[in-house]
Amino acid sequence: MEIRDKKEGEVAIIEPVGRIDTNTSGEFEDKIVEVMDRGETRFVVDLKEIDYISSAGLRVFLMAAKKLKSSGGSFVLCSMSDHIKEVFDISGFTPIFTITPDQASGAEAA
Amino acid sequence: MSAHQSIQIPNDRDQIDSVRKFFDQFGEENQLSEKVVHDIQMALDELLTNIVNYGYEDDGEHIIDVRFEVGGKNLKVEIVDDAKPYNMLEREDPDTTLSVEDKPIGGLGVYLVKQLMSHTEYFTKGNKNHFIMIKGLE
Repeated sequence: MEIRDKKEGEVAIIEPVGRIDTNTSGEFEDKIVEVMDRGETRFVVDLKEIDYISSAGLRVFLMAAKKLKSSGGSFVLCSMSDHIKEVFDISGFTPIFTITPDQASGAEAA
Repeated sequence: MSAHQSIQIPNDRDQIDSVRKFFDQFGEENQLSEKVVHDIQMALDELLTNIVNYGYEDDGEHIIDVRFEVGGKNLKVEIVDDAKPYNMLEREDPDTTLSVEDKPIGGLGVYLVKQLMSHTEYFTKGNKNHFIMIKGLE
């Protein structure tokens, strides 16, 4: 899958494209771990170009949140579609992430 | 008005994507909403992955049949396979209220399917498993 990453000030911005499902969640996890290994602790994942996230994808988000929680970092999600928001609500994931409407507000919150 | 189509895939993880593409096309032809297509795509990913990864004890090829039917105000999806009988719907629902530290990694897939569909059902007939999902089109 295509996953872009860039740095805005002190914040690492990750922009995955397409679907985060069984087939692609491994690549997505590798990217997050790679950026963490660079020493980044403040993350924004921009979901603007994501069609759906299956439970295999949710697993990666939870893993990242756990790691950053214990190391005092931040993991912000932005530009989430209503469909994806509903999946986060049902899963009980909404309260454990900071979710913002767009990338600029995400970078501020991170 | 009713429309139905089906696709058969071997029990190979790489083939799950062909069901997704097939259903994208079906959704377009039947003017299904973005929300319905989203929820069904997710559910198919969850269920087919479970069947392919955990359903078979031999290394042989097995065919999984996925049927789509639009009738009245509902979309019906039926997955028929000859994996070992297992009712995913009987799995205990996860506790979604736990904090980030306490949340277990995993166990959400089937729960999401149950929550996103209007109706889910599992039964065996002969040596086949049938998993049925109904999604309201309102």
